[in-house]
Amino acid sequence: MPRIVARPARRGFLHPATRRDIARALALVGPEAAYGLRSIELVHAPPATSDGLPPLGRFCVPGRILLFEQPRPPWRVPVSLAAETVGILERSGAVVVEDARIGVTIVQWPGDSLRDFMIVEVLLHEIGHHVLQHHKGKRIARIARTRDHEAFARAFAARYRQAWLQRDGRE
Amino acid sequence: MTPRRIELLGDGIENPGNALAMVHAARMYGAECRFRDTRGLAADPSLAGAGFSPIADEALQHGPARRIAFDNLSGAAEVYSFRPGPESVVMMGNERRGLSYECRRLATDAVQIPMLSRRINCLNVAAASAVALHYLSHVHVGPMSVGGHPARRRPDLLIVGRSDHVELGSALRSAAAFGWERVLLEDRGGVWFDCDRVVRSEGRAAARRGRNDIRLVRCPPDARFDYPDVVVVTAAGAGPPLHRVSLAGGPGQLVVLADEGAGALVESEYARLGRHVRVATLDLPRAMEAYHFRLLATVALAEVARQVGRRQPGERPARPTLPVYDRGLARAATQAGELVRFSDLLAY
Repeated sequence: MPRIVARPARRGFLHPATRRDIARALALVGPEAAYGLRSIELVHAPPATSDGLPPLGRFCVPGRILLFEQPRPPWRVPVSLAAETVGILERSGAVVVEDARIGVTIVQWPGDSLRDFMIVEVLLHEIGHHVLQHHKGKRIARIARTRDHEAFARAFAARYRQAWLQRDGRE
Repeated sequence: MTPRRIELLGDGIENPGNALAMVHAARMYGAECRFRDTRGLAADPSLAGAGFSPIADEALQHGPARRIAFDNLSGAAEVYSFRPGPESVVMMGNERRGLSYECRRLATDAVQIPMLSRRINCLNVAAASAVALHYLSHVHVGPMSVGGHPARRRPDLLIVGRSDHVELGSALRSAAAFGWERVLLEDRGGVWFDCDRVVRSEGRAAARRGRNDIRLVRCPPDARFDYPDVVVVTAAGAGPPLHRVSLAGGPGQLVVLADEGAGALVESEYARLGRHVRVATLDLPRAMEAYHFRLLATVALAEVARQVGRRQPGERPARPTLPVYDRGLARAATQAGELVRFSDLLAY
């Protein structure tokens, strides 16, 4: 099992997924997928991108996953989000409202939806990157085009999405 | 200054083509070439009348005082700054096995050409002979440069193949051995890309393509580039000697090696390659009796490799950047797409 390292979030931020949530997600995907993972770290967010969009997570080859702290909801994003991104957010339970007049998108996260979003769309997604990378054995080389890598990670997260949401009999 | 007298000795050379090229290389530098003929080369009809001169072991022992084993032996000095003395004999070994035990035992010095490739660790024997004679008898230069990041100093290389596939293949082998990972190739004579199976196989064999992973970028004969500095290397001409030209300009510099076997170089033809085109010559002491592109190309490549240099011994290459995959939100496109008609593209 990988080490789970948590660094307390700064004021105004939070880590939506706790160590316990991460351990449950790892149990869900099983030891085969987690094999080779060295650490999962809850860390401070790097500076926001030039778009002002909050970074979510990062997979560093080999075997290191970073989950960044997130602003406390609701999020106020100073740009219009891509339709695909809005679809992902809404599928995770977010309420996305765009104010076209001032060019701001407000994302509400009711209940545990932000935690589920971080687990499914970020953690499991990054574990998908790890599975593909580790399976090839060339652990420090880029083993697929970025587009293919992302496609595999998306498919991996989608595969476990239902299992995560149904783990407590919620859906 | 006492003129140097240098001899070339081929020890157990088995390919008549290599033996002939060694004879021509020796004549190019005013040296004598002899062979310790353990492979029956003397009987080969292609060497009849070519000045093939065998030597017996006893005569070898009574030859010049400095007997230089030219092979990548352990502890061998590098050829660039080696001073052989007034009289010496350079012993070149068999193509596959290298120098024989007898010659190594007789040798007073060991000299080698520093190789920069991990996969190609030796040159064609005739090409290596030309490099040896060039630096031991003709030019006086300093040792190979040593310092960090030689890749930043290595110029791009354009080879123009025109007449002979084996000569071209051998030049590509030299380029790989001297550390180039990519070569631009203009195949004007159709001897590399658009050729029949036999020519193709022989060229690839000469390039040691099984081990030689150099990347060849095919360039059409009229391709235009925008290199800030272009150095065209010729066998003879009015330009400065190659070793007096700076050849460590990095990727902004292009070194052009053209096979002049099918005709002399037309300098104006290379204006399309960059903004500032210069011509440098190998400054050979004598005219070539028979043109061998591999000899000239290898000498030129050796000089570029000397100036580019190598890392400090023990210095490790920079670690590759590890892949990172970020997850984030994506913003919508700020501008709507623009419709373009196919006819507009054609007219562009």
